[in-house]
Amino acid sequence: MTETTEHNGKGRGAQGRGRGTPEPFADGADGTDPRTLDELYRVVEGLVRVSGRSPKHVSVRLADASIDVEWEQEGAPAAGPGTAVPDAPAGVRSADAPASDGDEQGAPVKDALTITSPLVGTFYHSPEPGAHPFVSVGQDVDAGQQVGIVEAMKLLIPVVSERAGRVTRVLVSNAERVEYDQPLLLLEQEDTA
Amino acid sequence: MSAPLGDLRTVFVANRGEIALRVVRACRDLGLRSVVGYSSADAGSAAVRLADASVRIGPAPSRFSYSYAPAIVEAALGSGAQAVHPGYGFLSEDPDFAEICVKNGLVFVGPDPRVMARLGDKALARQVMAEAGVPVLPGSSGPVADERQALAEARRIGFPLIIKAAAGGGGRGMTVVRDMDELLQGFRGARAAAREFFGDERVYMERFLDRPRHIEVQVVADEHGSAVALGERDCSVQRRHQKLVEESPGPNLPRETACRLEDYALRGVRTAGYTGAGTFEFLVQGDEVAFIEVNCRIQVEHPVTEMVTGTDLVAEQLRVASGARLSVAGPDSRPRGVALECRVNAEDPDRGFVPCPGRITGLTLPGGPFVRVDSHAGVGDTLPPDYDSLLAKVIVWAPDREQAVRRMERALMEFSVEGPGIRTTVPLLRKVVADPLFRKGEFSTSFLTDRGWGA
Repeated sequence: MTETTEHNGKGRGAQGRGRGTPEPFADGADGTDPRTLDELYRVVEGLVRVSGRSPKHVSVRLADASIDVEWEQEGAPAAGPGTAVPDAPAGVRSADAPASDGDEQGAPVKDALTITSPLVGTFYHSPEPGAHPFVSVGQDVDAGQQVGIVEAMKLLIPVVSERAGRVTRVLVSNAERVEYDQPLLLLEQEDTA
Repeated sequence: MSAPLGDLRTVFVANRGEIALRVVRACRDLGLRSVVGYSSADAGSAAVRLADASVRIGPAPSRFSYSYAPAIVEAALGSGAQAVHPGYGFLSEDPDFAEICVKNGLVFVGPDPRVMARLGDKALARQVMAEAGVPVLPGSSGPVADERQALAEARRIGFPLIIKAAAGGGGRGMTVVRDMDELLQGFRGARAAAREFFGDERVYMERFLDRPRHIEVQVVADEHGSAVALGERDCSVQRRHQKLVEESPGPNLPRETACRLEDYALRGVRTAGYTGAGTFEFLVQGDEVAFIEVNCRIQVEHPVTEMVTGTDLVAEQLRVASGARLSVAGPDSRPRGVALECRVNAEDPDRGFVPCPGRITGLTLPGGPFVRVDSHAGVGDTLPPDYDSLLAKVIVWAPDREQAVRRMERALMEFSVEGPGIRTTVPLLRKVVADPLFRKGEFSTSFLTDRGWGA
């Protein structure tokens, strides 16, 4: 079972996030201060450090500022002090947001593979609403296996993993707008003996 | 204070390079938000940096990015934009794209898709204008279906003739045929080129004039019935039908002829129900004038008109798109003085104009009074090989043509670009501007080929 913490400016309680109307891209204009995006990320980093737990999934929205964090189950390895939060905002990069680097520090990592979006559109975790996601964290996937869908103008493009590996992180929410080439999932590759 | 712009708040810019930057600037000047859609090759570009936000829409090849409608519409919808500005080239004259935008609740900055379909089909536009009483060159009344019809039309039209893509534009995919022996090969080649460049092999045929002047009229029209012609541009200095130097007004063009052309253009606007900014192109040879095509979009050389009329044509496009009335009209916008534009391309004039993409390590752009440079290029940029080679547009204005030409000479002299393997057409442009016949304003579309410059 996973726990979801939602932190937002209005102090609402935790809410699930299902497939609904895709959210608009976050950006810094429209009267909101572009530096707020940086501040939101600092809050997330703070949450991660303080909790000592590993986030399974982090999502940040700028307009009306909110943060969604899905935590690993109890008993999962605690986040080391070096765990970094990816600093690429989902969807639109605002004019002031730093470019993503995808740095991973801390625990030694086997070859990592980033699966990126083949298209600008909306990312879906599962084949259809209510169905099980294609993959989840910790799952092994084969080369060529489908791990998601990106939809653009009613075109459904499968997202497949080029190589075999184990899913270590899902970087975007279900029904989230994504850009072309945006990182969607991280895989760790098995050593072939 | 500028007039309100209806519900328009955010514009999605579906283009790249200097025109994307141009649209972003117009949005800023109007107090509108801009979101630029860009390909992987343009991630660090000026338009992306200066816009309020940006979305990566695809990889470098334009068929998966700038010309890929699903990516653009998807990104535009996600950005919260109310309107899409298509720039020039890519999907800017694609009526299907315009229609998809409209169907998805986006305002397309340009004419209505049905108007675009009529006028954008070059063969059909000829007919529309002819029916409105505008002179056209002898030619086929529509697309030429097959070789048998090509032969029949050729006998009727006479030689030399030119075969053009019906879905074409930008001077590409045009084949000149000088006699009957060359006809069938020319016809087949033209169809293949049309298919390759525009995905539509339909071609039409037209008499070819060897030494005409290319004179075009800039119009803007709103949705309230107002339409204005903003003078003419002479774009005769061309290399392989690609414009190199443009100016307004047409040098040594009788005012009577210029007025006739403006009148024909406005007739075309009324007949077709055109709205937005557009350009009606004509060929002028002596007293003869003939309509050749309409461009239903903003053009590369629009700054020339802006400089002589003191207008912002891109802002005007956005105004019209928002449902507001034209802000340019009347004597204040009548052309004054002379403006010249030189297109600086990253091409090597000494080696067949081969494109020279690469990294820019040094760049000095001209400046000073009445010198304008429209360019997306900056030091440290890498010009991608995937797109056209336009590097910068250098535009000057002066009270008369002699001063304008001198000013352009100075501006070209100040222009410098350095980078591994980068060459530009500046040396050729300097030769053009120094040429005695150019300085007298006596030239036609054969100007470059007559001199053996620019094969």
